[in-house]
Amino acid sequence: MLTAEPSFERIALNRVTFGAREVDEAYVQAIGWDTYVSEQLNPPSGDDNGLAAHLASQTMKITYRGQQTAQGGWPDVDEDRPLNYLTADTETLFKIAIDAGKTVSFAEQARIQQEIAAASWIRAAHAEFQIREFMVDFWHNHFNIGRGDSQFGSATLPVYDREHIRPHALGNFREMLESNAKSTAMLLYLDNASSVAKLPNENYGRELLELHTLGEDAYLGYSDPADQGPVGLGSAIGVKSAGFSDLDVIAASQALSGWTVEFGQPNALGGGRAPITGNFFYNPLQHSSGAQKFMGVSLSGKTEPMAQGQAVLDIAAGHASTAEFVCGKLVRRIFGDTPPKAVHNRAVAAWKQHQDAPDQIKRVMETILLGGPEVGQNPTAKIRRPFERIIALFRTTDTVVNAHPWMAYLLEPLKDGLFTWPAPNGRPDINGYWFSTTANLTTWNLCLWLFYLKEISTSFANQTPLDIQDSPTQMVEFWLGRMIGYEPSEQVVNTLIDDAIGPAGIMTGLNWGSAADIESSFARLAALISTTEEFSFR
Amino acid sequence: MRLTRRNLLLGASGGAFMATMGPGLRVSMAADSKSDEILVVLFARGGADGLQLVAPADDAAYQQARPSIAVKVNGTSAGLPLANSLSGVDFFLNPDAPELNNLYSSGDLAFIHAAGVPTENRSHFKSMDMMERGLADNENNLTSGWLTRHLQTLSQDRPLLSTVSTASNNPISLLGYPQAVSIPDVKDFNVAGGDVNADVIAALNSGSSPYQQVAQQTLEAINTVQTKLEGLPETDNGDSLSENGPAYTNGPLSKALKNLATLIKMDVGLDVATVDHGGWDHHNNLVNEFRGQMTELSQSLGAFWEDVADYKDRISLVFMTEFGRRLNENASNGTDHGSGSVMMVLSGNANGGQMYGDWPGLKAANLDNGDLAVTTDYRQVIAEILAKRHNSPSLETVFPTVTYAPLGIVNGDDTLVASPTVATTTPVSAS
Repeated sequence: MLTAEPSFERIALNRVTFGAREVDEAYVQAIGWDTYVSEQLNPPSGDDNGLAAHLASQTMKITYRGQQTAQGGWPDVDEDRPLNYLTADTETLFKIAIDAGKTVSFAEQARIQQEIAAASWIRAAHAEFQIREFMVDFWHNHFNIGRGDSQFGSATLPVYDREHIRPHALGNFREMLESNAKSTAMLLYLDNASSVAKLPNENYGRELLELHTLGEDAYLGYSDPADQGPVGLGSAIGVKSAGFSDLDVIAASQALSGWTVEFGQPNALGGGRAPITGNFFYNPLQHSSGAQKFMGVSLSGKTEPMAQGQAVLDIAAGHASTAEFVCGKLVRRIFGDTPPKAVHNRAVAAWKQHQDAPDQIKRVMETILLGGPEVGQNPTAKIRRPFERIIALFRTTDTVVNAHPWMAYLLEPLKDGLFTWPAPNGRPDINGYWFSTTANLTTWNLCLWLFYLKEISTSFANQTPLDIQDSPTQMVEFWLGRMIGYEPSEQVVNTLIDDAIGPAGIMTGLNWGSAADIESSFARLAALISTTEEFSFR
Repeated sequence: MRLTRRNLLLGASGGAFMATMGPGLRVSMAADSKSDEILVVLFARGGADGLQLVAPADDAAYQQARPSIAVKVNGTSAGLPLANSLSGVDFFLNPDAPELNNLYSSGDLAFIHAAGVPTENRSHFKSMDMMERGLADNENNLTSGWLTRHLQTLSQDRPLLSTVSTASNNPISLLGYPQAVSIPDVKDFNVAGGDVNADVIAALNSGSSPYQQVAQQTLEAINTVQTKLEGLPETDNGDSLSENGPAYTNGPLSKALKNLATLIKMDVGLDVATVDHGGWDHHNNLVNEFRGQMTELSQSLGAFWEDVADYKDRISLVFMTEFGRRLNENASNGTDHGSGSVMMVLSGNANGGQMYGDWPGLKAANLDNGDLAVTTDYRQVIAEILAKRHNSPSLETVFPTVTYAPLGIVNGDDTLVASPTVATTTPVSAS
């Protein structure tokens, strides 16, 4: 018999993982939540061994016809190939985008996206260090890049994920911000790469302040620096402005101009040109010296290469509004639309206290998860995004997820796959956004048929204890326990028991079907459970 | 007024109810009498460059500010000259918009220039948020979308599919209106496995939580759409409707508008639809990017208008964007975030073939910090359509800070809102 309420462990785990399994719940009960969090917040630098081995064993088929082109073309390809692009460097990936349609098939460009998408599903489902994976997902949305924007930048997204997001997920925000500002993918996505000295492109400068750091509530419009609100909010770091104006956007764009990638542009007086590699470099020829002041701080004395841009990043990353804004997003991701104020305050305090620490974000997570009782209270306040719901379905049914090219496209209609949200603001993180007919329907349908892919593999029959396989009630209770962990409403239980003995139900499968039919009938039961209120929220 | 099955039903039972209803409710019944009007809100996301869309091409200041990207008066890529000037200035439609030019010439399309949010804001997300909640800066007191407030002032007895978003989620303009249904593609709008699964999902979600309500509504909408689809005529290739008809593109706007046309022709009681068209943020390489974008916009709207020709006297489509772009091009041959842009109204009831608004000019002194100034509040354009075509009983609920001052873009009877006596004595109907 299931308990009426979820356990503390189940509630807490569901908040910061892609789905609490019974084994996770038991593990945390055995070692204690504090120890678990401490383990989770100190992951190895790369993937855990099991995950690394699983990823290394993956192949996906790639097939396309050869073609002759003016530049030479390419041969036929038909092979099962490992996910090689996940570890490729910027230059290799950039060259694919440059050569696509000339000496390389466009299919190779698509393949890059298929590999990174498949890896995102596999990591979410199988990473042992789930809290880091949760944070990677958070930062990807915070520093969102839409893959449909720049074909050259998008080709380097494996590098963006591997070097600019993952290593910093529990690290220092200021370091992550500079890494991000220098990433090929972001430089091309928000146009800073093509900024020039004469009239800098403002796209990155604006989103840096509005989305990556201070937040839109700190935007003061086109105000004069003289009346930029009350003095003092940013005073800890000598910044007098409470927020940023359009003039600061322009100043930031000027200060960061010259941060670019090598794509053959003039890079030295006298006719020198950069190679075409896509690698970050600072190009003094693209740098505007026009920035005088940024948010009240003089930039004019900073003449070293990149010094002005770094000063802008210092000010933005260290601003009080940034602590409020980013911590606010983080606690909303964990707790739902109305996160406890006390948690938010603790997070902001830790953020500021550990501003210069290499593990600043880890310290923030510690205080969120261990600094009070909130993490085990008020369950199911946060809706699972479609991606989260699908991964939770896999995790709670012990499903092995293998790479499939469609993983790059299945969530595209809902813009919930990695790099499918087109705008730099990332997906809105409020429950109501996902209360739409199409979000519902698309998620239900994916849950109903994904188990038909051979790459999505489990055995429901083997997991269901043999001695209850003649009892629809016990089997329904068993799978509710696995997936939800407590007794849902009577209506849910009765509906599922009725269905279990109906024409498409598990009893019919077990009594009359082949092994494959039995698996289908259980997969259908799991998918139906995933449509309930109890499973749809975490 | 056209007689519909719904109106007949209302008429048959209305008499008995009328006697017991308060005045507020009677107003909302009156409001419902125009419910076969369809409002389509097309939001161009990213900040469409109004000066590139409808260009003052023979203004020297324009050519000077945009030496590499300006729409030209003469030559191979010359703009399409528009009949009827605005404030004495001639305008040229972007050369890649021949279909829009035809719609303008035929009198169904009107342009409103230098329109937008009356206070400057160059953030995509803040500007979109304000425009969808129906605000200007410093008016953050309204938390619902403007379409939501409009719908709430009408009768609440509305068909399931009366409000549809053609994107996969509902826009902010429908925030707080969970009855809105999102249907990006009518043909795929079904539960995998059909009724055997849909019936169980319905039983599992029969409760009253917000999620469960949306689940129920999803299943009801699927039922309605699939039943209606079965009744639609098939074309030669076996696919439903509009496959061999109007020249839609394969692009995203065409997909959305074709889907919308199908919904309109299903006669499901649709009266508000939202359509998104992304990709207008041209900081870079504007000329090339704009060409694809304009072609998609123009060809899709042309095809849609042909597709719904039988319904065009019931449709008002309004095109809006969060802001225009800076007058001066940047060094990447694009334009950065600016202020005023252009709006469009496409309707069988439009006084089209004309330009509306008040052209502020491009002299330095007339610009807003380097941008085309906003001289027409975007809400004025919407308010006129709501008043004249949708018989809005309470514009002051939809746009509390806007004083109704129609530009004459569409024809229709707006005495209900235009007369102060009525406006002050009519209670706001239930919301």
